[in-house]
Amino acid sequence: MATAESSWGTGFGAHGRSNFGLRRATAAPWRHLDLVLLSAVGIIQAVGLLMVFSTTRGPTPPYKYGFVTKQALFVAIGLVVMAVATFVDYRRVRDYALFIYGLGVFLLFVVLVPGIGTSAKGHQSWISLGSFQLQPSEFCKLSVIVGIAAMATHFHGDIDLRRLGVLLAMAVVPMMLVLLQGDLGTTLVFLVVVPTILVVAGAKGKHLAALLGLAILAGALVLGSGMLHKYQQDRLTTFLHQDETGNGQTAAYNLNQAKIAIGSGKFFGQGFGKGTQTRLGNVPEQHTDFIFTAVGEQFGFFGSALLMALFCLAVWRIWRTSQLSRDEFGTYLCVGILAMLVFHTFENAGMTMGIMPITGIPLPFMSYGGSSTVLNFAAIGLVLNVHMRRFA
Amino acid sequence: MTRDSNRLRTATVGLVSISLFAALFARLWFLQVMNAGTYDKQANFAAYKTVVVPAPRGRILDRNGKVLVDNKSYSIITVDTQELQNVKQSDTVLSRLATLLNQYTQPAQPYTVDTIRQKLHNKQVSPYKPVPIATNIPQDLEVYLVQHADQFPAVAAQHETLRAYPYGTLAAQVLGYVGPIPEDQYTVHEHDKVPYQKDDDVGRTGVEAAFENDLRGTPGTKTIEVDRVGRIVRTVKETPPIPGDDVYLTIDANAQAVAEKGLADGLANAAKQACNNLGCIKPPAGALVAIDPNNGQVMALASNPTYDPSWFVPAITQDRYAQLTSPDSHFPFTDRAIAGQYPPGSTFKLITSIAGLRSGVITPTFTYGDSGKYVINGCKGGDTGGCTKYGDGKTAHGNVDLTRALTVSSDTYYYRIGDDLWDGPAANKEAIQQVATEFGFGQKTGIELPDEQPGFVGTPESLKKLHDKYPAAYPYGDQWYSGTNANLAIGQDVITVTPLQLANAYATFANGGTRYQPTLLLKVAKFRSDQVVRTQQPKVAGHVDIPPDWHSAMLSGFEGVTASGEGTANGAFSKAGYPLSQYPVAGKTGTSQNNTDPKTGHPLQDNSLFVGFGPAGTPQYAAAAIFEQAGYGADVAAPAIVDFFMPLAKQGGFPEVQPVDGTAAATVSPVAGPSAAISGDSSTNGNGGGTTGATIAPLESPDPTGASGTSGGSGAGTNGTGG
Repeated sequence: MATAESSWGTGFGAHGRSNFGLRRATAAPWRHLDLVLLSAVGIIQAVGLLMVFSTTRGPTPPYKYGFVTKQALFVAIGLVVMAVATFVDYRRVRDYALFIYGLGVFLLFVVLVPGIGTSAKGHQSWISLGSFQLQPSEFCKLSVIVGIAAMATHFHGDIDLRRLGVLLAMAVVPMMLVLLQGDLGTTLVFLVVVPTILVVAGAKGKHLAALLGLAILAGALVLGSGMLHKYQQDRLTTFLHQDETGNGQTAAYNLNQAKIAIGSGKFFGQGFGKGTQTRLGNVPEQHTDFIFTAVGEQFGFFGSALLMALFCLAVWRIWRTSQLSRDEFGTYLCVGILAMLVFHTFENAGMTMGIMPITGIPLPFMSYGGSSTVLNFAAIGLVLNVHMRRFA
Repeated sequence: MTRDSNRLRTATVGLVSISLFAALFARLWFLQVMNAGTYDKQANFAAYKTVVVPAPRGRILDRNGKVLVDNKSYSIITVDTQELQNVKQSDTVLSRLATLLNQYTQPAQPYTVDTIRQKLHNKQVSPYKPVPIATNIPQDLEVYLVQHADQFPAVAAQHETLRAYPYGTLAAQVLGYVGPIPEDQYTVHEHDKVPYQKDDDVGRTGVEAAFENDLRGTPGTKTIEVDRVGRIVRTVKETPPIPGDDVYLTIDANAQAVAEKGLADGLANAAKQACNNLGCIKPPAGALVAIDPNNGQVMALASNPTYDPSWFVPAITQDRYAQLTSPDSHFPFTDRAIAGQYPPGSTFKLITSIAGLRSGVITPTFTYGDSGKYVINGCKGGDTGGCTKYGDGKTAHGNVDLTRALTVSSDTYYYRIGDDLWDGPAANKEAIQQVATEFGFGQKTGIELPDEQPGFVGTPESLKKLHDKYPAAYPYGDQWYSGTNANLAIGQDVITVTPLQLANAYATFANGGTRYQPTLLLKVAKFRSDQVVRTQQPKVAGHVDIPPDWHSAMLSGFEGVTASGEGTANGAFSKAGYPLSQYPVAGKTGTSQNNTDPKTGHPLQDNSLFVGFGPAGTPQYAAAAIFEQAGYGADVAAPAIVDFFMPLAKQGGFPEVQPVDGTAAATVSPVAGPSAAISGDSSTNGNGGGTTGATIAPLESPDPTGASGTSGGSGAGTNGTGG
């Protein structure tokens, strides 16, 4: 398991300060705040706000500020939530892990209750809270990670078939509920995140192999059984037919416009506010799921690669934190969050470039949307939490 | 679980993450670096549309700056199809518009929602331009629309510039008309730097067509950005249109008016003649050409029947077009001055004289006894076998020298030349054809107008070819006889000329032997400005060697035609009281035998010709007139030329021609550029042509061939007659 004195380094800002005698002091975790991760995420979110503005301001002045203002508010809420998630010792979180997990599952139930849950874009995924819409499936991603990480910690690296069954059951229940909402993307997130935690938490190789086989079988069944709507199937398979341009509302049209946007950015991009695809609103859902196309068009390969590098940096810091964590819970938590972040990023950017199926997964810290923004900040808060309490 | 296994597992998670990001980087590189060009093009294609803003057409003016063709602003009603898509109850709006149009205009077919919708589907108009629905609407309607704009979303009253003709029908065939661009012309220019639009108008005939490139101007462009549903977001770039250049013609509108009047009066008077053995005279058509012998500038170019070019504004009706192109109308679109081909008759004696002199068959002083008939040398067929040829009326003119032969138009004198050139001791078999070619016959003069015809100068070879090709029409053409040459000598049977060629041949003689290429172009100037773009210099097309003693003998002969008591046109000049001493005119009459009427099989009336130049010593004008099926040259064509020279002799110039009914000049508002739209989008307006309104514009060009009497002769054995 992870050790405090890992050969991977001692953390940001720790060198040369030992003479203060604070290095292992419980009162000093703030001194070990991972500023690299924080900065990476901060920069990504700043770019994200800029992109939300560029995709929603309209083609010509006077520009509209509605979306970007709202998103800025989400970011502010997210920052507060992140601060809380950082401040409260994650071991306390572990104590309440099952409660958090249960709350998440409960909310998933609630959203399905007619009259409480509202639906949009074919998903029954939202709970109205005044003028805001809470999306429990977003919250659930993190609550499941917390729950499973806590349970895996409880098993202490010894996962036999029964314990595996418990962990899987914890995953399957929310997964089915999310699927019932019609939210395929979040289901896929669980399919990636939970096995990743299982791998690191010590699930046996043969069990994992069997799970993989089962997953393939289930996937084939789902695709073949007609459980999915036609549009969902189209979205999943569009990337296999790259030459179709499509029209109007089809997934093929969406993908083609996305690729035109990204491709026309060329190496250095067309410059902020200059890309025609973005300015004229040629890419449907550009401020949410297809926000990466706005980066591609306006800042080109240079900007897009830089942005991806920032994601890499964040991912590296989370991975590193998982290694530095003084306990298993912190490790599993970080690994789960890492898997979530990597999958979101890869799936989202990948679908806009036509190498992944189109699913409604937002790009973390970039896509417009309150629940996902707040949850991502909360997740980063937990990682920061683990990182700065690695000595305490 | 071992520590190593744990390390392996976390390392795997890290490695998988890194590989996923690597895949993203690779894909980014593929899209943004390797395939950037393709996507860039697609992005621009999707985002930018270019709309062409038509340029006002240049004006056409006469040599003194009289505006013959102007641009006039018309009110039109357009419907913006883009905007209409956003109108919720578009049918209601269109129905309202239909009612209004029916109320204010008197359409041949009432407007309905359906007929308007049909027009909106006009594929020739760019989808980003409003589509014209009605043209030349009354001002009341325009005012109503502007005041009730809220009831008519997507509908706009705009101004469009179309052609206007201040002088009415004056020089109609010379000016030509504009009409929708023909498919083939569009295709030819499709890849030009400034290609045509499918809804463009172009010059279809006359000067409008000949100087299309000058008159056309450079259309402006407007690059607009459109969003994915095609709404216009903004104008990215705008290049204003550059109006076409003004074309100044050599035509003198005053002279043209006199020529046209002379032509019309001549036709009217010819019909008053007594009937003869060929029936009664009803001349269907004629042409009158006047050029400046000193430079080839065409001063007047008249053809009758004519038409009103304003019938093509905004577009000619189908009925009218059908009527104008029916044979009963005698093809008013044909400019007979350049496209009518007629046997020249005795006017051709100019050529035969030079040919005879050059080959020594005659000398200026050689005298021949004109007995009124001529027997072909060595001809064995006798009188009935076509061996004997008679002069007009079998009149015996007695002893004639070259001068007198021209003055009295002795046919036998010229039969002899034709016969001797073919078969005499000084035979020079194609001397006549050679001189004819030197004077410009048998070839296009090169005047700028389209559809010019070359005429025909028969040779043994060309006649043989015609005979082989059309044995029925040329039964005797398999061989060239002495008689054929004799007929050629008096401009009959195997020769046709255009009025312009004839005038130019006499102009060449008049100036001593320099043949200029006739031109209509004085200069090209910038639109509504004095800034000259280019000036037409006289072009010499050839020289004819005319020694002074030949020239003076012949000139005396031509002067005698008008001045001498026995001159063939003396009657016409003296009867009109023409002051020859003021403004001496020399010339030559011609009466050319015509074809047989294909309907009746009877010969048609003779064509009447006269060609003259004056003042005889220092010529300023050479003018030729031809009246189809009008009788003697002295009776019809000569008086028309007298009418033409009369103002020059009496007033020293042509009377000022006035714009028709005085309104044209007043109402033709100067349009310096695309006029602003009254309401709504200002993206269409301003061009020199019409949009298709309720009428249908002709797509095929009018019949370019002349009417009757234009073929290359019929049979070598017939007797020629001299005027």
